[in-house]
Amino acid sequence: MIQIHNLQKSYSGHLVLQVPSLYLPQGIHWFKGANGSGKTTFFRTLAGMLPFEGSIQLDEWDIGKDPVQYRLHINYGEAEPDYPEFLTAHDLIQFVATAKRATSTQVSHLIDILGITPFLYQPTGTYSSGMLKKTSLALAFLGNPKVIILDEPLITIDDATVQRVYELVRDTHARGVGFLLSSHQDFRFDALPIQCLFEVKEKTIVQLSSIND
Amino acid sequence: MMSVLTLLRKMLIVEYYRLNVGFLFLISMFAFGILRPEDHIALAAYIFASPFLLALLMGIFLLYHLKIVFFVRQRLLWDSYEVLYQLVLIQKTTLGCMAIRPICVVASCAALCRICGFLWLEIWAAKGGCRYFYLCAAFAFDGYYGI
Repeated sequence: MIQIHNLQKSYSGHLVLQVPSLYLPQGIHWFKGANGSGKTTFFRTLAGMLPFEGSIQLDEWDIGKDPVQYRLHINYGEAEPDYPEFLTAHDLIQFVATAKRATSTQVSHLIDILGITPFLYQPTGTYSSGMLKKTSLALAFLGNPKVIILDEPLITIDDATVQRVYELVRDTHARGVGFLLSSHQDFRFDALPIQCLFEVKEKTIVQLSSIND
Repeated sequence: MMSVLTLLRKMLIVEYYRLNVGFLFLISMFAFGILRPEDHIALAAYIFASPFLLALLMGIFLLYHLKIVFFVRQRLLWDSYEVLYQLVLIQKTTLGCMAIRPICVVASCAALCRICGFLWLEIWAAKGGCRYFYLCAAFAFDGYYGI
């Protein structure tokens, strides 16, 4: 699924992440790490939102050689979404749906399952953090991605929405989509078939031998 | 593609003119209020008669353009504008067509006025009917340049 070689990410010359080689197979993977360990930087780099040194390949698409195809097949949901306060969820969803070439059926399904309808046409400036999170989750599932990266997908949303997110991840994964998740909370392993557990520490990523480590 | 235009209009164009409403008002007053039609013609004839004045006018437009490019570039650095990174997924030719379309409408309108001598159309445009297109052209050209 994702192949990483000699990945180095620095901010103002200060190295924050170094991954010599890493292969992420098809499946649902959980990334753990303390605050500031570099999880979000790693995810944003994978999503093609940050410049870096090295190479990342998603199936046959290399981020450097096929940047559009690569980004078209990898989606990212932020931990703490931030949108201009005058935009509505409808504006954002329609824009990303156009960019990601999502169908109107998929858009309606996501709006419905995540319970966005009541605030769809309200400016995001009036949203609670949970409403913002639901909007960002909807954006992350749009299109036909091969991989969906969800940074802290369960924070700020209510229990009913957590169940729906589990359901959505499970159904999407059943259609062959891989997931990279991060969370400080424990995922319910009976709800999600998590395949590998990784830890981001000491500026690199290590695969833990089992979920219980 | 309307969704892309809607988002760009709200995030860049409306925001730019909201922050520069005083300047827009001043330009509008010069264009439609303070000067009489014959003053407009005299001013244009005077500018076109002198290469120096024409260069000065173009220099002013260039400075104004740089101001807009700077605004767009600054906004793209904002975290809340990160959603616009999805624009890379839209074909450049499609974006270019969207940007040029309003300019083509304005150019066609102006050409029609000149060729057919539709004075009533010019008067209608001056009264505000076509003002939207003029603004759209400026918005589109200015707004997309920095992306």
